[in-house]
Amino acid sequence: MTLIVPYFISFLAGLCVVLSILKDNKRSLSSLFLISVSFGLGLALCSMSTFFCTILFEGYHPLLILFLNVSLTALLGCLNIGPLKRFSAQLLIEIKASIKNGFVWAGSIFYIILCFYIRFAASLHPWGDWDAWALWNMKLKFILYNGADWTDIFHKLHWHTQPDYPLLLPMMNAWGLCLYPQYPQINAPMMTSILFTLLGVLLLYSTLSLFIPRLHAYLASLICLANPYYVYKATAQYADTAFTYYLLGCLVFLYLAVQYKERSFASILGLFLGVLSFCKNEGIAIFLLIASIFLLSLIIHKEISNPTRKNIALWFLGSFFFAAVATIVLKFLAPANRDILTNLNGQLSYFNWEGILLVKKHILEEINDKRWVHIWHIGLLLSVLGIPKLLRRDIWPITVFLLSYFIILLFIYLTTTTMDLSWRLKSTVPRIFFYLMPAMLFITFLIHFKKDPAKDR
Amino acid sequence: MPSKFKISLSFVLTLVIFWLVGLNIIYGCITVLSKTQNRKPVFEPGYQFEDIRKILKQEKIVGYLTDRNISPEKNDQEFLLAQYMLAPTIVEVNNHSYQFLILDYTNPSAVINKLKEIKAKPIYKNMYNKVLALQRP
Repeated sequence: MTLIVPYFISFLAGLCVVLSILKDNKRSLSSLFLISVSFGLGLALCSMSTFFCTILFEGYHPLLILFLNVSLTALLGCLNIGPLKRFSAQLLIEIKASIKNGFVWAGSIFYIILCFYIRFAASLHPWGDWDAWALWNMKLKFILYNGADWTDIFHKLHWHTQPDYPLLLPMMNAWGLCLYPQYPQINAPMMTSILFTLLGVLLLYSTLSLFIPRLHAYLASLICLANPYYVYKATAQYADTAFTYYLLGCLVFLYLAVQYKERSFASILGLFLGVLSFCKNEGIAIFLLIASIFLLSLIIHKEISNPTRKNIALWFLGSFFFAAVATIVLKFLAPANRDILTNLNGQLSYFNWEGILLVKKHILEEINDKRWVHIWHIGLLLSVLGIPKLLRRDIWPITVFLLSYFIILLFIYLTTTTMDLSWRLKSTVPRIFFYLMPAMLFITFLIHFKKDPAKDR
Repeated sequence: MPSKFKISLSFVLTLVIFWLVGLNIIYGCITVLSKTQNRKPVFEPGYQFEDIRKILKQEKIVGYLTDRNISPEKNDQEFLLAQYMLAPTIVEVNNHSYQFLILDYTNPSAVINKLKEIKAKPIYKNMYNKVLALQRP
């Protein structure tokens, strides 16, 4: 029971932040959408505050961290009493309307059954897979038990432990354990992985249901939850699960910000990007891509005035840098990455046609892997059938992002110098497919099933 | 594009997606059944070093000497398992500068040779052939 308290505090903190940002937004956003966005942002906020507390107070002090996070949440709550009341009223109305809806009942019952399924999948690997115990949970132990010397994880551990990796996940688990810090406890890392599995799916469903029929939005979410390989990977306690959620959040808000040109959506996009950069190193590359695409879209779309354009851009960048402070501080503490874009002046043995063919071979093997149960075949089919729509005014930023990200990944693979490329592809391609799956479902379902654009809420 | 064709494409895609979801649900049920029937106990990673952790509780850094492959591609995870189980004690791979050393060799005679070479005294050995040695300063 005590394990739930920190997560609930995070949810409240995130809800206050999101409602505060969206208070002037005129769009009709469902309660489920607000909940799924708030929970993730709230967890990130508490994770970052845990990180700063651990640095400032030279070690992990759970009660102090709890006091600070509770105080922060209380302060945010006091500042947002009006939006919280309106949200509560909206939630009650939606619940009353849903009670009479058979689709909601059936869908909810099926989701509950799938929650038990997720819990079962998590119990098959209660300590997570390789990276979970070798990196994230190992670093968690250093944070919990090494006092002021927790920073040993940056400079004194073997390079196999990836000392340059960001700390969103271990700090989040440290926060989750603040009332229950006796280790070895597998509860917080497992709880976090289950929560992000559900949040990713709920975010996918709630966003799509704003634009496409609810049945199709529900089917999109079921594709993730019904696939046993996806659920197994999601509960492996890797940072990839949180990364999946935050990446989807970035694309959702990129879509909303480009579609509606509203400062509030741009702000939340900035927050998601900042959090993403503290989740995995790829987040920094994704920020550069999405920021460029978003700012370009502001320039290209002429229907907004220059002052509005500047206002939106400033709020976007300001929110990003606010959320990325933790990443910036981390870069001063952690060593440089030794695997990505290193030794570019040296011999690049894979930067040739053979390297490209090797990457292609592994990608095709992954698409055809029976564990995905044809999901990627159908995803590619939907993409090919929807090619003209992929360059639509509201969709092109996401299309350009996905294509650019693929090119960046290809470049990183071809410039591999510190390890065997085949081994690297075998280890990382399944995980890339995993964290891109909700994004793929988001864009393909949006292009094929979006209701009349003129009737957008 | 004629509107009838548009509706039909959407309808066909919906059917395809229903088929995909159904297939995944069936595959998921089969997976759950097979995992339930063939369930094996899961041990905490690094259980091979759990008893050594109890001895080394207060140590800041220990050396870990091994003849195992520790390259990214071929390592068998043993030293990472040791690092996980012994955390927050730091495990220094192939460095015998420390008082306490863990020797993890694939060949028992290699352990004896190494102990003689570095003049360390074995103080504990567990059932997984992990040897804890003490080196005089």
